[in-house]
Amino acid sequence: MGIIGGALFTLLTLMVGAALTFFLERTLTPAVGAAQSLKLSKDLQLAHADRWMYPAGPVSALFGVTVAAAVLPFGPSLIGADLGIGAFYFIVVVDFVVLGVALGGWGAGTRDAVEGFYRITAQLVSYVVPLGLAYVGALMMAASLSTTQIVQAQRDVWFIVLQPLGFILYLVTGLMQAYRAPFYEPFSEHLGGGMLSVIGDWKALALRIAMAGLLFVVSAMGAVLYLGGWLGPWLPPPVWMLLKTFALMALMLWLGRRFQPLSTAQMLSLAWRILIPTGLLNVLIVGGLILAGVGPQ
Amino acid sequence: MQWLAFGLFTLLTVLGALGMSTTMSMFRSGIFLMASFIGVAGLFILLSADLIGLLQIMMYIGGMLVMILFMLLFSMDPGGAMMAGMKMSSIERLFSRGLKPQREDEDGGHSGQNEMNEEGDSDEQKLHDHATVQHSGMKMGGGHDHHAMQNSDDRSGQSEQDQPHHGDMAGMNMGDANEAHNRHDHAAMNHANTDHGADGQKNQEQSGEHDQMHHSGMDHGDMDDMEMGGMDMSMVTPARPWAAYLGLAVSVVLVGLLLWRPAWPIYNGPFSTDAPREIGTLLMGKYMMAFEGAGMLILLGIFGAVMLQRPGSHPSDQGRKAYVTSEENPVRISEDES
Amino acid sequence: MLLNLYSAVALAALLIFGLALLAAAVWRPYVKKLNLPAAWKQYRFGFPTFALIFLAFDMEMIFMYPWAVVFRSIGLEAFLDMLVFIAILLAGLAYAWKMGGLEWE
Repeated sequence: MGIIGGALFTLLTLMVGAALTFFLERTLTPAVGAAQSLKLSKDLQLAHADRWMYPAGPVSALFGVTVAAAVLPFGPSLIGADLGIGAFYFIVVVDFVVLGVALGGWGAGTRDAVEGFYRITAQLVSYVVPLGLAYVGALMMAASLSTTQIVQAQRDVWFIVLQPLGFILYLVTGLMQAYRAPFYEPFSEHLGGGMLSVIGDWKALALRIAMAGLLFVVSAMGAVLYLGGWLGPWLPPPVWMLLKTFALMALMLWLGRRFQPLSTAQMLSLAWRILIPTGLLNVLIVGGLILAGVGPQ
Repeated sequence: MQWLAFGLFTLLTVLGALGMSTTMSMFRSGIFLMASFIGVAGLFILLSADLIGLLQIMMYIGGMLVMILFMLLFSMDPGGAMMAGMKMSSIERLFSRGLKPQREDEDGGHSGQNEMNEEGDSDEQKLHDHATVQHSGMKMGGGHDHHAMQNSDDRSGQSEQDQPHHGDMAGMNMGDANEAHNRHDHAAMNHANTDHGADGQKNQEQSGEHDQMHHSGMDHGDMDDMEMGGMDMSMVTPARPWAAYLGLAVSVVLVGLLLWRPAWPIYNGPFSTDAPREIGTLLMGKYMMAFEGAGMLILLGIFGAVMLQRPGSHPSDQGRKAYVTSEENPVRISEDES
Repeated sequence: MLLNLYSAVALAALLIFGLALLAAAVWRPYVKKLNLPAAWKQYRFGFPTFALIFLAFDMEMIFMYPWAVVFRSIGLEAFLDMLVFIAILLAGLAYAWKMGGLEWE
């Protein structure tokens, strides 16, 4: 799409996605955790804030979601930047969002925020490996890391039909990645909102956009990996993509609310005792399926 | 255009490394190292090796965050706030800007007094406050004594301003001695803890402070520098001048090579546009034993990690006495189901 | 070609940095001071074993991405190689689990 076109399309994707996500979340979920209302009007000047790290947090988070939105395909050639390693690139840059909220937590220097920093890092430690395993199943069938290739590989049948276990794994780890229920303990009322209670003005706006955008891009990537992206019969491709993204987002939010919020210790246990063995099992199952000839050729 | 990007990423790499070695905050040090590696990843992308570049970023974001966590486990002043009030060289001050200096006994009411970063001219009263409560500051100095003793001529405030290059080279010298510092800190901490606890409260005179400092092993022969606020906590002044000149010479040679550009042998083959496929094929074919060997090494790492965590073999008892998470399993949050 | 794609990404990143800088410079709401006690202390977080095992498995994931791409074209041999690799790492995970390493301290 050209350099400038690609960049502008990325920004458009992010802004539209973040705005629609924000409104969707407000109607569907109670405002807890990362979806809660941030005081945009008042900033708090913290006595012990690290003056470089504290503003760098929300900026890094915003940077992460922006460059992540560059590899989301909305059509056969409607993509910000069709990188050959799109899926891997996506995982890497969403780590910048986690880095951003971690920096903001530590930078704020208050007891709650620093406690939040530790739990945010615990969440990073939990989600990365199971998420990668959820991706690997779809990557094996698509035989490529490029997002457009992954969508094209689902021309005949969507991967959710062939790999239901992988889909469930993606739902759980996507919620972990996006800091939504039931994995929002770093931002919960138990910690007084963690960093969210002291952040204000432009930092809060940037963080709000980043968190809404994060749920959007995670759901969009799930739609690409398991729901066939922009493939569909009558409607134009971008509409299909948006429909699938929002369906997945609604499903994630609804499922998340069914469960009690997990403490960090429980989340770590869940990830390392249940999700990782499940993920490895999924990889083996998909490997067996491919050897047996199931899936795209 | 490519030169511009190359220059930007190089600047990021070098500044990140410089900041890592000279800043007073442990946390910032980890973040600067992460930034430095992101610069290296950018250089990889410029060489069209985007998979390697992104691998760098992925490994180092995760790795640096975990490293920072472990630094916070073992260090007494991770945020650099206590060190920020000390006298240090200009380059360290640059990379430690934005850290409000704090004392251990500080609560909300005293924060107004700490607006200044420079406390070199504090009067006797503040000085003794420093003496009594900033034990950790002195302990950090205790770890550097072997460097300080070698360079008794290099400690005055003048010289550190004149030789900003000490920052780089001392940073490099310190970089490989950092491990030793941490361990030395622990040994010195246990030792100095008992001393300062007994002496710190009672000593109101400078001679008493001299005794303390000699006892903890620091060799500041210059008696004019004995105020705590003015005590030289910089890590750059003890460096030798020849190290700085050597580093400068090496940099000049490298930049000269870059500009002069002799005929380097350049690989003219086609570089791959589908790196994952090629890497995967190689891993499964030619490098299969190395791949499995890497798996065994990772397994050894897991064994080591588990064995380190057994109670009774904790690497530092200081760590166990530190402030710990508030509950083991935090209270479940009740949310209203609708 | 590759650099064009990354330039688009870099341009998007620069635009968003510019927007953030603009917001930071322009938006100056009412500011209140908050004096809470400082919180940067030595801290024993509860998940050191988890963090170290995470590093190990992160390295494993690095190997799995290229493998996933070539798996379909190589077939059974790749499957068996990865089976051995996964078995090695599962052995490590099982060891950690049985030795009580997967606990919040």
